[in-house]
Amino acid sequence: MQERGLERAQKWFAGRGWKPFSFQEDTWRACLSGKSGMLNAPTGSGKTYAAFIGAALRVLQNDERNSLSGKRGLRILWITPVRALTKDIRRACTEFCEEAGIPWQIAVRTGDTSTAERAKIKKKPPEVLITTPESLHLILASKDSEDYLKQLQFLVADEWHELMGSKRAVLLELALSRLKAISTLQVWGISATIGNMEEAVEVLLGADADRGGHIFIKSNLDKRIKIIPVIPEEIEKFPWAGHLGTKLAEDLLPIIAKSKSTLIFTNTRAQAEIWYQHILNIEPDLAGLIAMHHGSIDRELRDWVEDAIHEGRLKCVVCTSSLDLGVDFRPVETIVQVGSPKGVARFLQRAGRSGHSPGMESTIYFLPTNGLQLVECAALRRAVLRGDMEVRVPYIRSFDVMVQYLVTLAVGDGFFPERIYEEIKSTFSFASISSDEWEWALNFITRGGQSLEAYEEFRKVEVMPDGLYKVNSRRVAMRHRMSIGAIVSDPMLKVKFQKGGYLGTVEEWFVSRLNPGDTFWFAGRPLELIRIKEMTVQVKMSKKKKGAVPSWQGGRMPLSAMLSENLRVKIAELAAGNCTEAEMQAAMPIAETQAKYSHVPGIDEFLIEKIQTREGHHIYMYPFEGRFVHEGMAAVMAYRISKLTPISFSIAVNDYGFELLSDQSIPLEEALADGLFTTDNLTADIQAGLNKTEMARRRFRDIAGIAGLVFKGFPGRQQKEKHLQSSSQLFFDVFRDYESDNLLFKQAFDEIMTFQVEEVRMRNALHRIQKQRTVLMYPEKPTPFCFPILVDRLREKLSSEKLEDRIRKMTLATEK
Amino acid sequence: MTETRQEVTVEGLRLELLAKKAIMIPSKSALLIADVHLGKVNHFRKNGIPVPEPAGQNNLKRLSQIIDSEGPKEVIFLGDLFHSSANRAWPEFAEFMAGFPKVKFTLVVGNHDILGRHVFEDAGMTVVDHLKLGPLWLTHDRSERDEMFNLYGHIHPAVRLRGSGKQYLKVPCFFFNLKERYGILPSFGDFTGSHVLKPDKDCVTFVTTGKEVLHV
Repeated sequence: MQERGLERAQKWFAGRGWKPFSFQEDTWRACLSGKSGMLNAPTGSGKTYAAFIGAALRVLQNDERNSLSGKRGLRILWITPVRALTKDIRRACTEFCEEAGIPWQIAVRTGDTSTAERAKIKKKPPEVLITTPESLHLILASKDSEDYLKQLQFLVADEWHELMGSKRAVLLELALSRLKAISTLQVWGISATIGNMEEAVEVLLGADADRGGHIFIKSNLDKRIKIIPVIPEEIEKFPWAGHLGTKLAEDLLPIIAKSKSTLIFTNTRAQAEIWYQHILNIEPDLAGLIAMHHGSIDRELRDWVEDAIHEGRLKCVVCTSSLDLGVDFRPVETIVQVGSPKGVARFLQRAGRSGHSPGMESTIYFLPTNGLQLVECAALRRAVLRGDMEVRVPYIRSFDVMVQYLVTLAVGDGFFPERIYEEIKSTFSFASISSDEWEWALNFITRGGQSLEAYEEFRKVEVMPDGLYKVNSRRVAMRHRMSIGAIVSDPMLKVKFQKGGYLGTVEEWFVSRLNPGDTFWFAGRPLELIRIKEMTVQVKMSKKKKGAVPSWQGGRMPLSAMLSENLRVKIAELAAGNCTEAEMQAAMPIAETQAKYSHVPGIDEFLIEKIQTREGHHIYMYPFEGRFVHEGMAAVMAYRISKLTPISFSIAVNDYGFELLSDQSIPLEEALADGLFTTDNLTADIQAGLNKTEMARRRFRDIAGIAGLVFKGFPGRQQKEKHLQSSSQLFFDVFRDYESDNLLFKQAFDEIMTFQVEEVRMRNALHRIQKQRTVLMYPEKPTPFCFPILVDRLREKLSSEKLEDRIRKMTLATEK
Repeated sequence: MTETRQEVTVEGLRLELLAKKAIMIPSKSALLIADVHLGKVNHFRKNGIPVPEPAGQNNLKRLSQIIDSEGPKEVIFLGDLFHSSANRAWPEFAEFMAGFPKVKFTLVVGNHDILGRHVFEDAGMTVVDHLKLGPLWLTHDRSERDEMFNLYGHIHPAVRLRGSGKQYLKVPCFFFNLKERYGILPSFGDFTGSHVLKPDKDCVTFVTTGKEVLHV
């Protein structure tokens, strides 16, 4: 029977004039043999055909065996992280089914799906459903979901590497634990290469991975990559953050001209807007041939752009990570990366968007937005050569997601705790959950964290006489369905033309700074703000050419550990003056200036700069460990110094180092003599440092949103729920003051320890620094290294002074 | 030196701004308090949002301390005394007031006070839309009448302070504009949040940390 299935696939391939790769045939065989597993294959390799055909063949085989052929019911769930990919996947699946004579319905259900379509999917289940983790949870939150999912046989988690390092993976893990209990399920992941491939399998399969028997298939398609730096003729010796380097745009024009189609990747949406506008300014002939694509632009517009790329109608598209994934863009010949990609994997992923056919070489241009990024380019090149790849750290013990999931189940058919506890323990994320923690969660959703004795008005999940946990209030249920998911964003406002026409969304805080009549750039057009009405920004085209560009927050990715490591090597080469690559030679003038004012650290040196300016007393340290680790390390250093004397710091970090700034002289020399970098008491000092900064508070923002503490209101029904508005900040304070053993509150600190402080990594870094020779310089003015940090305005603070004493030294801030 | 109160004279009337976020007027023996938002925690909990319950209980403790120490004959709430429709925080508060038989409790109604006049009155409160107190015109939100000095709440005012070394702080405050003749009280309640105001040259601002009140 297996062979018959295989023949069907081979025949279909042959009919198209294709020959299957061995990894495709291996996947089909593995699926047909009933195994779960992971397919490690890059984008554009034919991975969809491998997994989908495998799943389809297996289901046909099962149905025939169980005489279910022709019986309706959901068989295959295809989970994708991005809505944009659904169209392409559906196309591929439909082609196969139609041509191979499989009479299946294939449907898509995402946040974009209309209510009518959703109702249809609910009433008449398709055999194949392509969906997102969030939409899957919405299915679990509906009545009779168990019945609906009973026939399910196969789940494919596409682009698993993309989900893996996020809480959305936890959503999927939890959903999987439920699905496995409802039906007999085969689970497959598809993932690009990451540094912890084995762990990726364990996270997806949960306890099943321990039992073994799953299969790992790696495609042997090698992608060759050519990295070409765009080197400026003259190097700015003082590169600074926010300098967007559009000067180099001129150099892009010939690259765009000679390529059939070019994708220009920027790191932020604001940068995309600026580059799009700038390129069009210097090359008006591109009008109509250049487009922009980012996550805040209207879906329809984005669809149009994607189709146009697909059909080769566009010469150039300026985009953000919104085009990192999936969609097959054959006509794209060239990729440009503007600014540091911050990680090797992301860089490779983007590079892979060109030469999408298997075996073709990908070309990527690296365009630095400041001089030091030339060194990053060299570091990237080194990492790619060595095959270095980032690890995606999975979220574990995300109680916010678990609490949300339990309410989701209670909103649906309800649940019995004993059963769900066992299921949850089988996931990777909650393998270590204790019965006390479980009891806490149950208490939290039924009694809001209060003891049993307390008289209670709390109303959310109710325990029915038969022990079923259930949400009975329709309002609670509706509110919950509205907030399912693990992506928390700032309040967004719609941007619309006064005469109609939807453009996309901007963050509320950006619009709140504008006055009617002001011009801002959005979706590549200058727009004049007319008024803000309810949740809509009404605009008209502006005649002005200048205006603010929205800066969507959250665009600051930290440099990965992998890239940091390579960067340290390259900085040391710069210090030694033995540079071979063109980009390194181009960066030499910066190194010379740095050496003149201060010092370029060699591989066995640790550089500290102490500078006094009008703003106060600055200390800069350069561990080259990436932004996240620097945040944690700066907090510890600031805390240790603040124990010597009452002092207040404002802290700024970038990927190269961090700054401690104070209004008073900093006793650095004393601190160094006391062993500032010691690993003794590190754990305690980290804890104390974190308690004194806002890092946990920031982490808590997402947690509060996911756990349903902060509710943004129903769209268009703001008024009615007004009395339930609050902020995560308020919650953070009351938990700290009244319920500090709350697992959600503690989770904020745990997440910092896992993702930011990474105690192990910090310990290693401190050990390294202790072995290095500390070079303490007293430059007279800011150096090329410190300048980008100096001008950064996003700051953390830490103080050992009394609040009242600090206020006495301050004045009212009058500027905007 | 701990500065637990500051004095301002408005239209000849001496006001004492207390670090505990209230205004005492000795000559009238009146204590002014804005935006307590009693019952807010209960309201959230009733709707399935688990705010720790003790977070709401501190309000009464602080109220009782301040009444004991200032000994006013009248306590005037400048609106948003109660956050929502009735919940069990209301009988608690009614009982609380009964514990001060010599004190007159007056409510200037705010937008959150949806309990209904009779509910407040049944508990012995005097309920008004606005109130004249000497030269002062007391309201919940800013009044459109401008013949008197307007004292109100509603906004939960705070200011941003700046120090050298790029230091910033956001602190709740008493906010006075002497030219336009108004003053705003900080919100008294826990779990209420604040809104940053930008003072101009006609403004006089006193920030409060809960322990000290300081002129900035």
